[in-house]
Amino acid sequence: MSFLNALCATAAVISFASMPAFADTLPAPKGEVLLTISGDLSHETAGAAKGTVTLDLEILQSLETQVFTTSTIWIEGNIEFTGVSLRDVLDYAGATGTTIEAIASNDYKVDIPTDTLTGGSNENAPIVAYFMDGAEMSARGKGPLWIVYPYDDDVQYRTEVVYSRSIWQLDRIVTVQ
Amino acid sequence: MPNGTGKAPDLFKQNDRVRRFVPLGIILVGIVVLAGLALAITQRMNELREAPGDNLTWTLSQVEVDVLLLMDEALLTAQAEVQDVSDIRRRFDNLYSRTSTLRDAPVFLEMRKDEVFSSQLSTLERCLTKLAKIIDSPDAELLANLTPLVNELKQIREEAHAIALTGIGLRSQSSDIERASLARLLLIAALVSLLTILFLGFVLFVIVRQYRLRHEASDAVVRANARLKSTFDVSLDAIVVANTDGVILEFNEAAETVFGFDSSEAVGQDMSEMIIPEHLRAAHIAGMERLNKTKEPHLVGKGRIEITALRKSGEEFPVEISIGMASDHRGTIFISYLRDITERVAAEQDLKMARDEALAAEKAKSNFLAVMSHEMRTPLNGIFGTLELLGNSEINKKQRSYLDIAKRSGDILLHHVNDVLDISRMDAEKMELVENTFDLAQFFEDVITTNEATADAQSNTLKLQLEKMPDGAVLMDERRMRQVTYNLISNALKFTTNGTVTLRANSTLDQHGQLTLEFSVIDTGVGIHAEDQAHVFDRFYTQERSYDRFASGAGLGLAICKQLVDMMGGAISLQSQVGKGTSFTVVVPFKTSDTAQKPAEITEVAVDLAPLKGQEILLVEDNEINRLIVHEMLKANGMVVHEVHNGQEAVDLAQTRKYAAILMDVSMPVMNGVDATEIIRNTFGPNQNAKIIGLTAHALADEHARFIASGMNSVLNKPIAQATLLNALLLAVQDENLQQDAIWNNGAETLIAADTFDELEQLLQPERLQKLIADFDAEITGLLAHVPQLLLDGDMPTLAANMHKSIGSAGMIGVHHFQSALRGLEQAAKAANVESANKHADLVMAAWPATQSALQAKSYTLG
Repeated sequence: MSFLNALCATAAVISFASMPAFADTLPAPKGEVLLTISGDLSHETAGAAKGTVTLDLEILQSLETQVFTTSTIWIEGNIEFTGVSLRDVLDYAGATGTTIEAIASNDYKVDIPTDTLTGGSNENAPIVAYFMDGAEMSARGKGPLWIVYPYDDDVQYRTEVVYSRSIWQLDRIVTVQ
Repeated sequence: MPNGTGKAPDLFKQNDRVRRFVPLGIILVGIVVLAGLALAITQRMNELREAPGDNLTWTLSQVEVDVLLLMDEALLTAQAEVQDVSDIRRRFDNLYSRTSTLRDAPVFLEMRKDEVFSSQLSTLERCLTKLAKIIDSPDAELLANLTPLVNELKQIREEAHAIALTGIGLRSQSSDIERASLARLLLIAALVSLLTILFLGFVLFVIVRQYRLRHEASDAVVRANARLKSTFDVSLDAIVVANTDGVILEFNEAAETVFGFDSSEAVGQDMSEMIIPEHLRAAHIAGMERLNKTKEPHLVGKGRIEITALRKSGEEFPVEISIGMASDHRGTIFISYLRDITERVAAEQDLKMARDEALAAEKAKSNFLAVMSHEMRTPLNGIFGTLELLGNSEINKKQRSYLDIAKRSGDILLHHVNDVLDISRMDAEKMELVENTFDLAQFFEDVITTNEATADAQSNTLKLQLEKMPDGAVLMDERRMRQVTYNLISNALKFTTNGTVTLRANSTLDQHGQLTLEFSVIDTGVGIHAEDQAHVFDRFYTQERSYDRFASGAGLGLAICKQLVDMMGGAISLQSQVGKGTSFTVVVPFKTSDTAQKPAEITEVAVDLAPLKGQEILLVEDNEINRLIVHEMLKANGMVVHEVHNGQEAVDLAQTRKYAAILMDVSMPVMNGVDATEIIRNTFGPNQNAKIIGLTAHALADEHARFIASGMNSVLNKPIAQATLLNALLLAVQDENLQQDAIWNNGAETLIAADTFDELEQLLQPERLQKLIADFDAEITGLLAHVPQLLLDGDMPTLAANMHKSIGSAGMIGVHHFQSALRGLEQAAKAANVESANKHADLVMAAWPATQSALQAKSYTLG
């Protein structure tokens, strides 16, 4: 799968060819900041705190959209999730760490090793979903962002660990070495 | 196969099936159960692995934490008098989200079914909805309402705490149930596994045990098979095993050698096409079909049978075969043991051929002897005849003595020839005893008298010692008795010089009334060696050591004596000591004849030969010498002789000229005498009723009867003595001339054919024969009484018919002369020749009284 990784990385490089390679300054989000990434990053968002990358819905939507439908253990019935690959998000931020700490607004925190973001049966899982059944998710529900896996696709996505990593009300990511 | 053992294999098979399928079934059931359990456990494990949900207890307890955090945020904001309420709102969103998870998440479905949990959740939600109004109000209002918010949160916290406790309680309950269920499942699986393993262990044990038993059994079978195989292979007999379709299953080495096929060629082939000759195949196939249908073997188990088999080369050869039937995994099989008996059969045939050849050689030898002896009589006839002619001519005294020597030598030769013929007859079982009555004392005296001259020749004294002799005449075969006695005496005289030969005779009567004659011939001659004594009665046995130069013989005399004595029911024995002498003793049973009848005196009667003078005689004879002799005899006595050389010539000549008599040889080329006689008798002509006298070397009685039956009036045996010939001719001529008296009164023997009458005597009881004679007497008397009247009437047909009837009776009883008189009359009557009929009637009338009295005499002697 390393070949695919390389391919994806290359694709990412090609897509953001115009972007600076190191310590590039990313444009500041125009809308409400939904996600703040900090830690070992090679980019930072202009106007944001030093060493942080912030993303609003618009920026998220500018990344490659991922859509899948799956059932969950939290909500009755099948749900169509729309979002971006977590890997793409980290690539956007130029994250270099081996692990990320995903943190929810309720301070729930979970570690996700970056090597688990590739090699699954779904190349793009997990995703950072911003739409549930085509609508934004409210903060009083699971929103605004929710890391979800295509649970129905594979038994490997129906484990306690995966469930614990399915963090909702995501608003921060810290990359660590 | 007996019934009892037939059922056992079926039972065994059934058991076998049960034994095979039950464990298999058990194991299968075990495997299926285990598989089911494994599936169930895997599913459970998957369920467990898939984590039924988030950490429920975390979520449950987190509700209270979220409440506390919100409360903490609200208090903090109130105390710090900060205007930012976003954190309060965020904490509220967190709480609200958490609570909605309890409401929505499927993992809480079970808990939501619980009434307490459900009502607590409803209460919580209601509180949150109420709280939301405050939270969602403008910042200032929210800030102003912080205190009621905190108070409200205090109550909500209670609710959250309660709901966490309830949820955790429910959770642990269901966990317990799940664990118990899983544990039960695992336990069951373990138990089933254990049972299956135990059963497998048991099955393994059984299998191992079975294997050992089978192994032992199979070892035994292997050893037995090896033994059988070696028996099969090294058997000297060919062994061919075939099934019921006749297909060869096994073919051993001996079979390869015998039939010439390799086992690989033969096995799998049709037996009938391989080793059964083509001409026997149909029978073989039919036999197999019948056997397959009826199950009743014809050849199987019947021991050794000899049949023909076929080799690869196409050669057929004899085999001895023994077939057995058995059953094995191939079904019913036939095991044939075959032995090539070509050599044995060949040896048997050789042996049989050798035996047949030996028998044929033996027969050829005896035939040769018989034929030679027979043939010798014809030249002997010539010699005797010539000597007789010579004796009748003018010769001097010296010549006459030579003639005597020649005659005696001829006699000896004739004696030998007769001996050989006797032996041949005995071998052909054609010799019969012909008994007649005679006086024993007289008999022995005669024997002594006739041998006295011979005794004198070697200076021997011949003595007769008669002890008790029967009073009257005895009934024995006189001729054979004479032969035996002569033989013994001449033998004794031959081996004795200057000694004594004594003939001692005695008769005894035992308590059963059996008369026995015992006579011995005792000499004082050279004697017989002990080792030779056992062989003296063997044929052609000559005693080399004691033979002197003067003794001569073919060695048949004693053999004939023994055989004759045996025929008479007696025994002959000898005692001898070399140098002292020999004694032969004969013991024979005999019967007496009540009427002491003296035999006719054999005396020379002066016969008037005048009637023969000038008579025309037809001589039919192929042998030149015989012809010459007979011709000379007839001519010397004044007869006119016409000669022909065979029967055909005789028949032809007999048509042209009437003869006083025809002398007919029996054995002739072209046409024999018997056929010629029959033709002459059955053909109208001058000689139809002529006297025909047969001349023959056939000395057998039954042959004579055949000749008479053909129409001959009488038969003379060769060699022919002149006196006999003249007598016969005189009889014939006088019969024709009605001058028969002198001859006819010669005695009963002439009037009644001894051969025929003797036969009747042997065939019939004396009483029956007497009655037969009486009936015949009455028949003829009656017949003759009518003859004068019939002649007077000239009723020739009736006369002929009457005669014809009695001709048969006369022939049967043996009065041949009277019969020919009747036949003459019949022919004359048939020819309607009244004059001739009158003449023949006179002849018949004249012939009857003598015939009648002779018959009465015979009847009287029968007792």
